[in-house]
Amino acid sequence: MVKLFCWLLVPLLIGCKQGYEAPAKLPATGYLVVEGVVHNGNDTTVVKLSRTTKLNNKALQPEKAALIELHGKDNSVYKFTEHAEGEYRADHLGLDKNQQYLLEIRTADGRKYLSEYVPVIPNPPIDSISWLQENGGLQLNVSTHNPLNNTRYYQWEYEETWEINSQYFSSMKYLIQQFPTYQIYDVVFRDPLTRNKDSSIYYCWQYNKSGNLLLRSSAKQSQDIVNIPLVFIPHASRHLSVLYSIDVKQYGWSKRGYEYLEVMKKNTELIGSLFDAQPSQLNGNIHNVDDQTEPVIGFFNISPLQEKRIFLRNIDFPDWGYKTDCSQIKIVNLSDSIKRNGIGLVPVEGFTVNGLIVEFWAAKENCVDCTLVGSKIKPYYWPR
Amino acid sequence: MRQIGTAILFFLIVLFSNRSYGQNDSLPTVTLDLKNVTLNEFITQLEKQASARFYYDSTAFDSIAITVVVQQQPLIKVLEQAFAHSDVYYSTDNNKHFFITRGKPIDLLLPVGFFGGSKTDQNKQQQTSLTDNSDKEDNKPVEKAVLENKLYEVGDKSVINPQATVTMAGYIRDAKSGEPIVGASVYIDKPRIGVSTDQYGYYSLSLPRGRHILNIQSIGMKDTRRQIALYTDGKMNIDLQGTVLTLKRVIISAQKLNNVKGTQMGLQKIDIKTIKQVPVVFGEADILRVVTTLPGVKTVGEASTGLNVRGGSSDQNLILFNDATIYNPSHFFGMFSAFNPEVVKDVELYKASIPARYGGRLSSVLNINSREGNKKNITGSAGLGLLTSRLDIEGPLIKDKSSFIIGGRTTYANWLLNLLPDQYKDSKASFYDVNLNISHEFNKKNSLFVTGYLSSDRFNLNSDTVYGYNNKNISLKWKHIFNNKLNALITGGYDRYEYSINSKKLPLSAYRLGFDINQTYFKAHFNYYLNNKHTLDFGLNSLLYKLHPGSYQPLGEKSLVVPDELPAEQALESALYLNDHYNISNSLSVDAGIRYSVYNYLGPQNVNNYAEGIPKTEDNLVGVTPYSKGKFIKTYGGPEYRVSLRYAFTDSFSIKAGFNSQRQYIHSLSNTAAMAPTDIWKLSDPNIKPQRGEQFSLGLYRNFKANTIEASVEVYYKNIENYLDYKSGAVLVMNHHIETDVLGTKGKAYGVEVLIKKLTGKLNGWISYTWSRILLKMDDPAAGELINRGMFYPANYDKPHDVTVIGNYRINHRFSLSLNATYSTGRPITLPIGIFNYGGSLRTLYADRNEYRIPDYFRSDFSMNIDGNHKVHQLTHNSWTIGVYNLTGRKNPYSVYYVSEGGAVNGYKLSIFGSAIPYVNFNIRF
Repeated sequence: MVKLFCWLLVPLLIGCKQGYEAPAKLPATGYLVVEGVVHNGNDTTVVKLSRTTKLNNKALQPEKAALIELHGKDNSVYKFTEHAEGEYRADHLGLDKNQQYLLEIRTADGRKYLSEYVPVIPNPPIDSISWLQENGGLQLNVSTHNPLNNTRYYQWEYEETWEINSQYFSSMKYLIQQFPTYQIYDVVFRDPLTRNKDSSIYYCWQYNKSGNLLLRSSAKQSQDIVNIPLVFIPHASRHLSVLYSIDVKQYGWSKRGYEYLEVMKKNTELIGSLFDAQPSQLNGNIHNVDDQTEPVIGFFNISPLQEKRIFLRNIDFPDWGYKTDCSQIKIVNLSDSIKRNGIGLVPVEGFTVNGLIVEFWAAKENCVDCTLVGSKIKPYYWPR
Repeated sequence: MRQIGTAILFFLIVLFSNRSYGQNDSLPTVTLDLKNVTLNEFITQLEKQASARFYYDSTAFDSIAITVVVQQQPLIKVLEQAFAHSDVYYSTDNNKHFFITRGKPIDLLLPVGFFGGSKTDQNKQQQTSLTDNSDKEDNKPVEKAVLENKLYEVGDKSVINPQATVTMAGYIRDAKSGEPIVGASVYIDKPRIGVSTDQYGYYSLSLPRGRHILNIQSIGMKDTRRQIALYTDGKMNIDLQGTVLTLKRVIISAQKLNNVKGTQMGLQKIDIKTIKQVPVVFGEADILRVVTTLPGVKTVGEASTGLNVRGGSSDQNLILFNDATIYNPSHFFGMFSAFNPEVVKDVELYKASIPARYGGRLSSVLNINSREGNKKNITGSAGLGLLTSRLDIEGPLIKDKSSFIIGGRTTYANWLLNLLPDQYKDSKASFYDVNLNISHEFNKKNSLFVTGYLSSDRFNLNSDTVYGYNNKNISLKWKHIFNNKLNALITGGYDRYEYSINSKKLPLSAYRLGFDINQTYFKAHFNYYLNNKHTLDFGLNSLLYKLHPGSYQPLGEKSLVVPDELPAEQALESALYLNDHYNISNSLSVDAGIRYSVYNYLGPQNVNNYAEGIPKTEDNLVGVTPYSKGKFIKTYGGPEYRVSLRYAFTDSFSIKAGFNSQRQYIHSLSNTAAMAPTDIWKLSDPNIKPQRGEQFSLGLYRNFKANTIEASVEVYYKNIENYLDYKSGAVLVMNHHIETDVLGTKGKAYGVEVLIKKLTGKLNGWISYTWSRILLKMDDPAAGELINRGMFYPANYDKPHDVTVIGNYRINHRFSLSLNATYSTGRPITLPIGIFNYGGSLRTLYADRNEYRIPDYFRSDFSMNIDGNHKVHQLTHNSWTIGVYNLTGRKNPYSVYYVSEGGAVNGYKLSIFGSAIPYVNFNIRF
């Protein structure tokens, strides 16, 4: 009976979702996309330029060789330089927080785009990044307040980093000799001199960047205090198997800029239920000087950067419960024995008799080599 | 039985005791010992023993059981004993002919004056007790004319200078329940003069003086006629017999000639029996869903009961439930309509020639009439479905004078939701609705009707945000008949619609958002039957609005939400109207009406002022003008014309043309495709102009096969001005300057509607096909952004092709099969024109609205209606409905959308009922 009701009600409440293929005829596209908040402080500002692509083409199309300048109402001019394809940066802008500025973009095809003048939006420091254990997992929240009550519109971005360790620390590997009709397997030390374990496949790091627009406004509150859930780390996930870190960036926005981001969020993230608002056009503050009707995506905004990083250690969460399904098997170091039992596995460590490896332990590759899923480059901010 | 037919000719109303005829001593004696036998058996015995001849209508006595034990008794004594304590009477002539009747004995004497003899005082009184020609006799009940072949005299024969044309009036009622019969045709053939009864079963007809045969026809009732001799103005009430007395399940020809004969165009009427046959999801008979199967009516999708009539938006329909305006006619996320099918009598949808008495909405009037309670007995019904249950009870308060009907429905979906997988465990939904109708007839000139309606919904869809909304309506109606020519209907009432949203997830910003509409109204409607050429309708309506457009309050102690309240809005909408139904000749008639509506936006209010000639934006806000209480801030108004013309080529073929103009002063603002429970309503103010619309329509009507098949083709063209669309990124909730987020657009709609309908016979149903377009345009650069570069763009509900087949096949009286199928073009949607990367994710870019369409829609449903046995005398009557919704299991897309997920853009089709859904409903009547 329970099953019957579910069958009846699930379609009623959530409908059923199926993939949808874009119609064959797609309109021309290729509109300029401007992304990046200009920081008025002494840190680096990066503005990214790209072009919209067709619905069925998901490759990015950076806008190269453009000229970007920042013009103050006081006639000050600041130039950006392209440091990667479509990425333009300026260091130590040190803008006057009482001044208004506009952005000028000249693309390689000779078009000129101007933004409207915008003021510098104040941005108070992040108060805290807090965590709360919910259903065994961790809910991370960020809180900020502005005693002057003059920011009101906030956006956050975050980047998570977590260290992962392989289950087994391997000091051995296969040596495969290729012959025209057959192969011979042998096990050797990774480093015959030291016979050390290979830490380059044992210590790795994984990253994740926020993909959703994180927006919150205190405009309807008496005080400029905001608190927003950032990310949820599910119970027993690998994120907190060793050490986890999150870095949060915060920007202040003007009301119009914030509304622009809200529309973008509604159009692209908050869609698919029965009572969604219909997607609507984005009207930003950057325009083609010669053709005001040309769509330009992006909203020029200036705000100081506020950033905060925290670390969470696995040992502080004794019930975290991260587990792997890794196990080792013992294999005799003979080519036939390896071929029979060890193909697809990676040797971990062995028993030597007179310096010869007679038997060894082996495990699945993902239990030994974390570079399959992570990066072996230790981030500069990593404490251990 | 034929003898009885002739015998009835002599039937008179006057009561004579059967004893007055019991003196024929020459009759033989009989000996009987009968227990609980039928009359047939009893008579057979008597005829055998007494060689007498009996005449009676055996069907009238099939429920009578006779017990008689006699030894050598005279026949008369036996009859008296057998019929004692019952309403069976007998009469006899001197030739051993006995006439057995129920209720009254047959008067075997010819009426005095039959051969033109002089009248006595006594028989004059007898005759006038049937008819009534003077207002002084108000409190005397009007007798019912019950026989087809008796000549009824109406009026006073003795008046010296009689008028050439005489007005007769009265009520047509159901003989069984005493309920009035609405829309019954009352007419004479030569010359052809006729009317339909109004919603109280009242008719008024001017006829030439003299003898006529008055025909009466109505849905589900036996056609009947009365012989009348008209002398002066008078009254006659007529009771009709149902065709199947105990089961209201059979469809008998509906207003056979109305389709062709009426001047009304674009009028669709469906009675509840038809509605109940149409299979719907979960088997819950749904009025609005059935209305959407009619030509010219569309809906954006299965999750919406919002109607789009001839290119109108869902807020352009005036939904009246016994004169009360229902702002949100849906339950359960919009999947069910909020009307209890058990208390509804019928539904009328005016798409084109909207009568002058209705106004205030552009597209249509959906008039839902509820039943009056049974005036004779307490009865009731109950239904059990997968998601809802209902209970309805009706009966007399004072027998034959006043009655009540109360109905309630509720859902128990909540515990079902708890069975869902964990991710949906927080979803909750509940609703209920209650109807109460009381009608009371003080006397034949004054009747009072009280209607109360309450519906309530609460739901949260897998989130902590709880939505709730309520409709509350009460109305009081007084019907007064001044005389046969003039009657009045005075209505007053109060309607309220409110919704609220509560969110508690984030304690700092926990809030409660509230919205409500209140309206108090007064309507006076008069119907004046001038003569057989002219019938006038006139009256006035007045409606006082009070809206609380939004209140935003903190919820809980921790909440930092600043209470915000949009100032209440008030306005007065009044209208005077006059309509003349003019029969120019037998074949040509005209309905010409004018409605003059005036709208006053009232203080207290602070009105935002914007610089002239430039877009209304926050930047262009130049000031605020405060107005004091009761001040007329802005007045809009103007005439609205309602004209329609009918030319009948033959009795079964006519052509009609119409022109209609409308004004609308209250608008719902929505940027969702479906009608959402949280759509807000806004009154016209100095910054938001009223919507205006005009419609031209032309139609051909033809009935075939003795009027059993109705066919019609209608074409229309419609202009809409100041239709409200929203700007990109509009904020519609808690907006202190909402005029900056909406745009007045122009619209044009046109289409062809074809309907073939057969409502009689074993196979009945209808086929409708519509081709229609609705295009909008926003090309005024001074109003702000242009939509789609100022070009015409299709509205959300523009679905050019639409075919619906509704079929019912009655295998026997207890078993019928229903099948319906519907196909329509997919509705327009806005698809992205490109993809870009922003904020760590690929995202979609939208530009022109509604440039693409979702895949076409097709659905078929099937149901079986099984009635229990049809024995009259049993405690309860049961019936089952078993069916399958979406028989083919087609996954009809409700929407197509692209969403950014995990950095990528994915396209999806969302369908609501994406599989075949079986259902079972059990109904019980007592």
